[in-house]
This record gives sequence, structure tokens and C-alpha cells, in this order.
Amino acid sequence: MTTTRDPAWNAGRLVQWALRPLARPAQEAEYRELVERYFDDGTFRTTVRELTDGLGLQVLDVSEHGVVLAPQDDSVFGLKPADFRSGSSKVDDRLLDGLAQIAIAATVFPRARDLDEDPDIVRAPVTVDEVEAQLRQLCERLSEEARGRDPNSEDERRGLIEAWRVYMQRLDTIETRDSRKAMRATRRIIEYSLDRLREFGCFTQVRRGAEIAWQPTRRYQVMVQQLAGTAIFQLVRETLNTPSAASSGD
Amino acid sequence: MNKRTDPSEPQSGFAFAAEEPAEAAATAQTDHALEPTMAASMSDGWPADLTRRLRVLLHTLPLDGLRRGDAIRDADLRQYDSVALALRILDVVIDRLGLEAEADREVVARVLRPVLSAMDAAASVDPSQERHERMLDKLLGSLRNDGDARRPFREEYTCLNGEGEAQRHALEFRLLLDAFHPSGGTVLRPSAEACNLYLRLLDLDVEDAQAALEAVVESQLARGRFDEAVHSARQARIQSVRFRDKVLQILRDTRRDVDRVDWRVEVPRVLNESLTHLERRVAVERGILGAADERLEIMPDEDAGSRRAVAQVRDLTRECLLRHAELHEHLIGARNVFLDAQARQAFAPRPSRPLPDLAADVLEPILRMPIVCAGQILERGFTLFVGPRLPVLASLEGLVTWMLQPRRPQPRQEIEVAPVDATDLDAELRRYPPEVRAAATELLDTAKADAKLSGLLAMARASGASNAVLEVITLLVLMGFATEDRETARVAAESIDGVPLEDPLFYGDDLLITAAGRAG
Repeated sequence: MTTTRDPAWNAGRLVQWALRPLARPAQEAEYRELVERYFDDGTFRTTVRELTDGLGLQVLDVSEHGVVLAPQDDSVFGLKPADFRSGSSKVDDRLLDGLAQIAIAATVFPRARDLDEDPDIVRAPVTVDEVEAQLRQLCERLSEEARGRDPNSEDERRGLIEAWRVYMQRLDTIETRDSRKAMRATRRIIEYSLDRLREFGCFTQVRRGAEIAWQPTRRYQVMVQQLAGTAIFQLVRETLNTPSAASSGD
Repeated sequence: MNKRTDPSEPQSGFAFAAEEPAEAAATAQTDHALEPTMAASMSDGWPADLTRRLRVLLHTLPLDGLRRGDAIRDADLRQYDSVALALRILDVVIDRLGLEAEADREVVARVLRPVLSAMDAAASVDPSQERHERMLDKLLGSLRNDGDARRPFREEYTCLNGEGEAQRHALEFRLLLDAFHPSGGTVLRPSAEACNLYLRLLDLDVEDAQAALEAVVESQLARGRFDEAVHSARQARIQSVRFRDKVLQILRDTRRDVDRVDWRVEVPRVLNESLTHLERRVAVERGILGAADERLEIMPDEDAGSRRAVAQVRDLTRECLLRHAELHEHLIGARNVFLDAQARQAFAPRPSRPLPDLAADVLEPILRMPIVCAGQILERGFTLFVGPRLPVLASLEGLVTWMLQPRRPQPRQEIEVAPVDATDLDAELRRYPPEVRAAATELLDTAKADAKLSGLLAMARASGASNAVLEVITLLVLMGFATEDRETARVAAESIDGVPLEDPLFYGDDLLITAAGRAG
């Protein structure tokens, strides 16, 4: 069927399949045919690239596992932190959602070298507690370092307080007497993030002994390894190199 | 473990030399790709191939760790020999490598179950599926290095460099890994190191090993040693798998990243060698296949064992032949894979080096930033971690259809569930002809109240009832055993503590039959 239509139509079909995170070439004959065509036919490849580029998408990986796409800057396909939760979210919530994403990736890929590994190798599943501990321990260390340097209300109003304070505040403000309850609030943020990532085909839930763990999928591994990890690093470096922004609260 | 010692070099001096660089553990070189080059000139202090052998030996340490774990494991798992089991796992995983159905946990569990049961039996322990699963998880976890977040095993070692100085190195390797399978699940794959480790702990030259094995198969067939021939054919197939995997790995790496593979010198050499090798192998395999077919034709039918063995050799060889035909196809298309990959990857996004440590280089700096800056970075970076989302377009047609669809009926709050008798008591009885059933019922009905099953059977046998009738009687009685359904069962039966049934036809506990059921 796919051979009789115009290559542009077929390219559109391939992009459609790619946008279905749970579809697999092994199970869908048309998808499989299109992926093979992508490998074999140079013109078709160019058409797909042009089409995705025009849509504001980037082809990260094409394999027998399917096509992995990433949105370009300002793409209509880009999911902003503001759209992450249903209903409106406050600026602090968005910040925490963003931090949770980085902490999840940092837990899945704890060392720089892990980003260079074969994405076909299944990485170990992570738990909400592991991600939370990663984030909390970092924040506690920074809090320890900044002891005695509390920001004034002017800083707070202008958004000059450091990001870790928002995380610590979330711990504190929920329930000061019971730290477990406080942690529950941050755990909920991480759990929500992982759950949403599962909807996007980035994680699956598995049982690890008695607890629930989250297993990264190949799609997620490709996304972080091929692009997200280095791209966010680039953004951080750019920001740190801009003199006005690189302040650490002093 | 044998240690090579040179009497001209005191052991203490070596140990001392090794210690100093070891302290700077952070600077220890990791050489998963890098072979420490050993100068031939220093052969008296440290022969060049010693390092290679040392590295080979290091690969066995995780297995050694497994064995040590045997003694400290939960008491109910101590009867298992984990190294033997681990090798069985590697065997099945390597055996399935590259097949359509690669080994996953399920396959490994199936293969391991009888082995675990045998170990249970040897220790006079009843087999338990739950315990087997637990042991399997422990074994897979150890082979994957789950304890260290599935990172490669890391073994440090010391060797002398060209100047005779001791240097600390670290060897990283994996044994077993979970890999994504295109069909959606995950499969277990051996690492290259595990394959070498398993296929005789030596870096055998694949081609030579296979040629040798095939020669062995042919000679074994000719000499009528069929069981050995099956074994050798199986080994030859494993070598074939290994070989095929080597070429496919090159092609996979190329598809992923052209720069990882040396297409100027190394790969064309490997491909050419492979083609020559293939042609030779196919000829040899055809020879074996012909010999096996010939043998099967002249072999007498009574010699079933040998026939089966030869047929197995034939099947294994045929599989090798198919694999080689497939490999041939890959080889012919290899050049195109390279050219395509090059064209495709020329503009592909490439991770800029160096790679970040996400916690230290990304998360921490962001946490330190004022929230306005952090927010901006996360705003832009967020989308890359979650992937594309689908913008939703409103569809008027869809809306109208939705609004016009009939109201969904409200489910009733309570739904009566009719009790279903899960056991169809008649099903088993219907196997017997009606007259047999009638005879059995009649005999059962004539039985006195509170009769024993053994007595009833003896009586029936004395009255000339056939075995089928006796079977139906027993079945009817069993249906009444501990049943709550007093209406369907003809009789009620209960066991008499510890009294065995005395009957030549049946084995089990004797039962006391009461008339309770017959009233209904």
C-alpha cells in the first residue's frame, strides 16, 4: 500500500507512527515497512528529514525499535513545564517539575560515561525514593553551605533566591513536625513526573521486590543520551558564562 | 590460583611497587577499550602476554564472588551451586543469541527449573517454584551486577610497564545484560566477554575453532560416534552464532555511529575474511549434511538412538547453513549499510563532548542559580526530557458526534451473580458408555451405608464388574469426597485417617462412603 502513494504521504505516515510512543515496527507492518524504506531509500530519508524539520522536530534515532523524535526549540510539539500538569500551576511548581526531570535523568544516568553507553542496554530501574534522595541530599548540602546567609524579602520578591531553597521550602512548609510527611510532598512531585513519563512511553512500572520501580524505556534512554543530557548541560554552561546570571546567592 | 613468581625478583618489592600508584585510585586508568601496550623488551620482569592472561582471569572474578555468596545466602538457598547455575544461564543465553526468539527470563527459568530441582533432590529438599524464582533472580542480578546499578564489573589489577614500574589499571566488563528487543520486551544477552569466557575462557580465533569443530563432527560421524557428533555440532553452531554476531555488531554500530567503526582498513578486512570463511564453511557444512543423510539412509531402523543422534547432527548443521546464508546476505549488503549510515548521520545531532555528569554538572548548578535563571533553563530544557507531545486540534465533527451519541445506560448498582457450579461433574463420566455407568450406579446404590471404598470395590469385582465399572464407581465416590454439593453427588465420602486403599487397580487413601447424598 505504502509504495503506491507519494513519498511525502509516506513520510507523513512515518512521522505519525513516530509520534505514537507505544507503537512498534515489530507489531505494525506499515511502520516496519516505512522504517526499512527510511534505511534503504535516500530520497525518502531526505523527505522525512525535511518534513520533521518543518514541523519543528528532530529525528534522534531510527532503528528496528522505531523512530525517536525530539522537539526543537519553540516547536508546537514541545511540552512546556506549564502544560505538564492539568490545571494551572504556580511558578514554583513548574520549577520543581523541571528539577524532578533532571533528577530522574541523573538517577538513571549517574555517571557521565553512562550517557555514552549503548542505548540498547537496559538501564537499572529507579525508585521514587532514589530520585528524591538524590535531589534532597544535594539541596541539604547547599543549604548547609549557605548557613547564615538568608535572603531578604526583596531577593525573594525579585526571584533571586536560589532554586534549592524552593525545594527545601516545599519540604518545610508542608509539615514541619514530621519530616516523613514533608518528604511525601516532594515524593509526590517525582512520582507524578515519572507517571507522566510513563504516559509518554519513557518509563514502565516494574516491581522490585516489594516496592514499585520505574524502568526507563529505550526511547527515554535515546532521548537523554543523544540529546537532552548534553543540551541541558550546554544551557547551564551558557547561563553560567553570562555574568549577570551566574550568581550563587551572594 | 597459581601465581607466577620470579625468583630473581623478591615478592615484597613487587608488592611495594604496586601500592604507591594504587593509592591514587582516582587516576587509575580504565581500559575497557585500551590495551596496555607491553613492550617486548621487558619480558624478563613481566612477560607481555601475562597482562592479557591476567585480564582473562579477572573476568572470572564475578563468578568467584557468586561462589563465595553460596555460603552466606539464605539458609534455604544454600543447596544450590550458583557457579554451575550461572554457567547454565550463560549457556542458554549464548545458545539463543541471534535467534528469532532470544532468551528472556522466562526461557532461562524454564531451562533452570529442572537443574534447581535436581539440586533440591540431592539435598533432600522439596522443590518449590517460589524458591526457584528467588534463586533465579539472585543469579541474574549477580550476573548483571544489579548490586551496583548494573554498571560494568570493575576489577583493578597491577602490571609492570616498560620501565618496570608497577601500574594500577582497572578493567571494566559486563557478563550478562538486559537489552531492549524490537518486539517490546527485554531479552538477556551475553556480553562479548561472557561469550569468550564461556566459550573456553580463551580468545580463540573464531574461524579456526569452527573449522576444527566441523572436522571433528565429520570424523565422529564417519566413526559412528554419534553422541559426540551431536555435541560437536552444537559447539559448531555456537561458534557460528558468535561469528554472525561479530559481523552484525559491526553493522549495528555503523548504523548507530559511523565514526565508531573503522571502515577504512579494519572492517573491509573483516568483511573480506568473513566472505572467504563463509564460502569455505558452506562447503564443509554441505559435506556434513550429505554425510549425515547418507548415514541415515543406510542405518537400520532398529538403531533408533543413533538415528536420532545423526538426525540431530543434520538439523544442527542445517541451522548453521541457514545462518551462514543469512550472514552472506548481510555481508553483501554491508557496504550499503556503511554508505547509507554515512549519508544519514552526516547531519545527525551529535552529543557535544565532554559528556556531563548530570548530577554534578547540571542539577547542582541549576539548584545554585537564582530561580529566575533556573526557571529559564528548565523551561527550555524540560521538553527534551519528556519528548514531543501531541498538540490537540478541535474537531467539530468529533464534537457533534460526541454530543449526539445516545446516553450511556447507567450500570445497575447491584448485579446479581448467579452461583455457577465450577465443576461439571458429568464431564469425566461421559467418557464411559451408558451401560457401564448404569452398572456402576447400581453397584454403588446396593452398597451398605458406611461401607469402605476398598470393600465396595472388592464386592463389585467379585460380582464380575469390569475395570471400567470399577473406575466409574471410584469416580462417583471421589465426587462425593468433601463435597458441599449434596444434591449432585450420589454419595458422601470422607477419608479414614491414614488407612490406605487396598485394591490392585487404585492407589490412595481408603474412603468411608455414607449414604448422605443418596437421600437427595
